[in-house]
Amino acid sequence: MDSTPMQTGVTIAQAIAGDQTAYQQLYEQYAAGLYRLCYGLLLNRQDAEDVAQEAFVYAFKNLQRYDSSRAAFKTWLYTIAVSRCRNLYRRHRHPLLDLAQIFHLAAPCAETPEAAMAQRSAQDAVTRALGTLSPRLREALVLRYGHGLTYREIADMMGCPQKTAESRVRLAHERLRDLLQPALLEELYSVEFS
Amino acid sequence: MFTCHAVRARLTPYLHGTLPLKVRRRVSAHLERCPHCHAAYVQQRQLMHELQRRLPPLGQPTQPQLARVWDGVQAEVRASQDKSPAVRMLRYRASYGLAALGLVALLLLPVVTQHDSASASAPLHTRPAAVAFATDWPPQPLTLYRTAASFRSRYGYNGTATPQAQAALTPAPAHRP
Ligand SMILES: [Zn+2]
Repeated sequence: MDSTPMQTGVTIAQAIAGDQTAYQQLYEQYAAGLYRLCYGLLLNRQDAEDVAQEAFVYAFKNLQRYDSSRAAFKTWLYTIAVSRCRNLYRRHRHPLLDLAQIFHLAAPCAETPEAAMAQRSAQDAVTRALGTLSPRLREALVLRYGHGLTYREIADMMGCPQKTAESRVRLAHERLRDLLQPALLEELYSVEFS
Repeated sequence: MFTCHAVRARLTPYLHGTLPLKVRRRVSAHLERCPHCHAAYVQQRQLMHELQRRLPPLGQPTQPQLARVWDGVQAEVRASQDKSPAVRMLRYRASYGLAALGLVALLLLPVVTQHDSASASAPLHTRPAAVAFATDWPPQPLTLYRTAASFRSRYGYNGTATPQAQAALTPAPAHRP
């Protein structure tokens, strides 16, 4: 349901002109992605809802400040959300997750052959591993893999040079590879084909 | 010739296809003849597939969640619009209107009472313009607020709302098809 930048531009113009349904259109188009982004960074549903709401409120109140020649609307909106998430994890730092718990959850259990269970465990393992990363590395990884963005877009959203965005993804990769030991990775991977 | 260290540092961009062609070829050449780096490469590739697979569905919102956030967005935007200079000017005018109305009422009081005593059978049908203006305040809920109803119906969201909120969310008859 992606609309072209031109269509988005028209919708934004309509919203600025006071067309209230245009706000709703913008919300419907970007809400799910924005919420997913917030959840990926905060790993907490309530916080993600709060930040998604804050980001939309800020964007809607400041729509006339958005400059389409500088960034896509999605980039602008996600930049607002990333900055709000940063405010939040500065306020209450998420505790580091227990690695033993990660591996316990991740290890596919011989007594529970259900594939669904294994899938869930694998998903939990990756989520928990994500929680052990520093916020900057998590941001880079979530934007890259969770949203399939280019390094240029990631750099814009994170407010850093493109090279930094690239090295953050690389560092996150290395950190996760160390966390999810080879044997575990092998098992996670095998779930995909079982 | 790349060292193992140099190759390991380039595995992620190699996997993402962001290395310049020349560098890419050198990494490929090293991977073909170094089993250790090749093992690291396979591991990284597995991790990449795992992340590509697990991260997109992470935190997928439910429709009630989206509807809840939308309600919050509308309420906040509406509150801020109420505080906007244009609305404040309207309120300012309305309060002046009410004050003027009070003054007119005070001035008219002796006339009306005299009129009533003179002919009680002739009631006052006309209303000063200020009264009509004053009863129009507060203004209608914003359309932005009303569209939550269409959002809810679209997504089949059946959240509970107070009767007042329900009333505010009900579209005006003129908007019904
Ligand atoms: Zn090597």
